[in-house]
Amino acid sequence: MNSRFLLVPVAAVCWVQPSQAVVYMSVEQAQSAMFPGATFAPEFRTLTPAQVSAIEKTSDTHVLDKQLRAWKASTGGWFIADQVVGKHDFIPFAVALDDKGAVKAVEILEYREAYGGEVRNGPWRAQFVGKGHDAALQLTRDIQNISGATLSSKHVTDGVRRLVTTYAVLLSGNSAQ
Amino acid sequence: MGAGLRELESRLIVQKNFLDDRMVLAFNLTVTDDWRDVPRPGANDNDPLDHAWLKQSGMNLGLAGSYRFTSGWSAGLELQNERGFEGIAPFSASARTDVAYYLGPSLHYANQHLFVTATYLEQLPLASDYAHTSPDFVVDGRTYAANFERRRVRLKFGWYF
Repeated sequence: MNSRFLLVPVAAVCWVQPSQAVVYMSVEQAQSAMFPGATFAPEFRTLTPAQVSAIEKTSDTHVLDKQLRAWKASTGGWFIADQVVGKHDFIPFAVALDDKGAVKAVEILEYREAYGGEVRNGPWRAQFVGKGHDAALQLTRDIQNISGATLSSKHVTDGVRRLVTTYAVLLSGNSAQ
Repeated sequence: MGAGLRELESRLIVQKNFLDDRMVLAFNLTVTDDWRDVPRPGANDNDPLDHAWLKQSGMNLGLAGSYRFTSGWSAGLELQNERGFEGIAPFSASARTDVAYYLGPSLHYANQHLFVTATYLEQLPLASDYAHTSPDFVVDGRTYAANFERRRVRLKFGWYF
């Protein structure tokens, strides 16, 4: 075989272009939409190995990033920005929790996949509202699957479950106004 | 299916994902039966009717794993075991003609619309040629019979519309 042909796959993978992320909301826009009129105090934390272990064990998910990006809302509650694994790339999303740790809203901040964008649909995201860390938050149990968007649906559901568990493990003792 | 070829391919795919779908293990079993319309041995070239259907079958077993090490990029390793058979007998040891193994890495990139997978496979020195007893057909443990190359490069492009 002519060794020049070995350069073809190398050239192909070098040629590939970075994806164009569709940014639906910035963190600031999501904060304003989820907590209208509130101001936000950042409560960024680095999770300890014990906290990671507790979150993973309780939520049955993997903690992808030990850096927790949480903000305390002046009107009560918490805003947490995070990301989950998509089919090819990460899916940045945000969760608003009330002062008892129940979900107020879920927003998809960016979506970079060709399929599965239905997780942005309002009725699907509304299924999370009111659910706390004691809820199942399991796809096909209390959260309906979206046909054709199974992977995104599952990972966003797992991500929300992980964040409500993170609240219970880490933030619930810091909710008083 | 073509004028001189009939092929039936069946494939069983077993896949298990780990680590939030970042790690994938997959096993493929592919069985092919084909009928090729070929001239009979010693046939008169001027007689287009002097032909016969040559029956062959093959069984490929593929085992591969990949890990997405950063956004859009996955690296993997693939092992292929390819077996050729005389006649339509893909599970008959007595009908075996060739057995070869290939191993190599793969690199996969995907974004919102495009995906590219490049794979390099090298034949391992574990081959057998049951159809030809002459030592010329298996050299240094590798078979060079038809369809059994020393090295393979596979490049797949895809576009999500």
